[in-house]
Amino acid sequence: MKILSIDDSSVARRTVGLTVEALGYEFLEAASGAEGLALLGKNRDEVTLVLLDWNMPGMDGLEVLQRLKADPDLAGIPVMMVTTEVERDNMVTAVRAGAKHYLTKPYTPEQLAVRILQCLGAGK
Amino acid sequence: MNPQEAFGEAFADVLTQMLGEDAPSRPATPEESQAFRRDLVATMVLEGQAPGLVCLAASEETAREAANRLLGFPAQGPRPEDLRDALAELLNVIAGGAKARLAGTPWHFKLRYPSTSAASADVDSSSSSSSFSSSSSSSLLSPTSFGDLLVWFTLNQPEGCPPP
Repeated sequence: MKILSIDDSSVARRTVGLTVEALGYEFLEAASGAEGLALLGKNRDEVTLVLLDWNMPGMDGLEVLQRLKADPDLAGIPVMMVTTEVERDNMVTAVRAGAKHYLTKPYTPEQLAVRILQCLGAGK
Repeated sequence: MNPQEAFGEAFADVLTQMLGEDAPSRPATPEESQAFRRDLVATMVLEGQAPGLVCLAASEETAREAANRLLGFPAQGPRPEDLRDALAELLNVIAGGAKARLAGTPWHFKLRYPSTSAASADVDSSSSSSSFSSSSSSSLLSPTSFGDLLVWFTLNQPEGCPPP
């Protein structure tokens, strides 16, 4: 099972990757929305979760989310927004657009791990 | 909440949650406020009714320690580009935290993308704010530990808003 992080910050992606790999999942990363959607297209049957930044140059996270949810082949993949956008309106917008969870930065690795497991339905 | 409190709290959150430091930020001393020399500076323009600028500056040693902590102390050590990226990410989160805390106030702003550069000269916080109005809110924040990491921000005072 693979988890994909889409974030323009290399350090942010690698920080996420440490937690993802510690949980035993394979880690994929993309530095832009376009790269992320392309990677998803190639790995659609294996990616179980997308961790998506909001503020990215070019295609922002909300547009990535909208495109992903508009694609019948990708729409079923859960998405968690991982972002500095902590305002309520933005959170509501993302959830209405199809985000399953919303994690705001800063977070600890433990908080990220718990959210990932919740997203993947661990313990059910 | 005023800008100094917002940036101070956001900085403290980053120190605690991202860098594992249990050290609240504090206003810099007058000596620190005059000018500060650092190797790397991350900068972000803030847009809104009160436009401004926020910077995060550090020596190479402090930036390396920050990158090491964010990346879980990689065996080969952080790459040179990781030092800049780490500062940019920390600044992004600090600015995002301050933005959220100032939502609904006249100081509310929007984020742009951070950029980083090598600081080849002293950063003079008083002259750097000269392009902002004389009534801007400007402050330098420093942690009580964690190397020489410094946050400096300035926000133009919104119309009709009393000084913080």
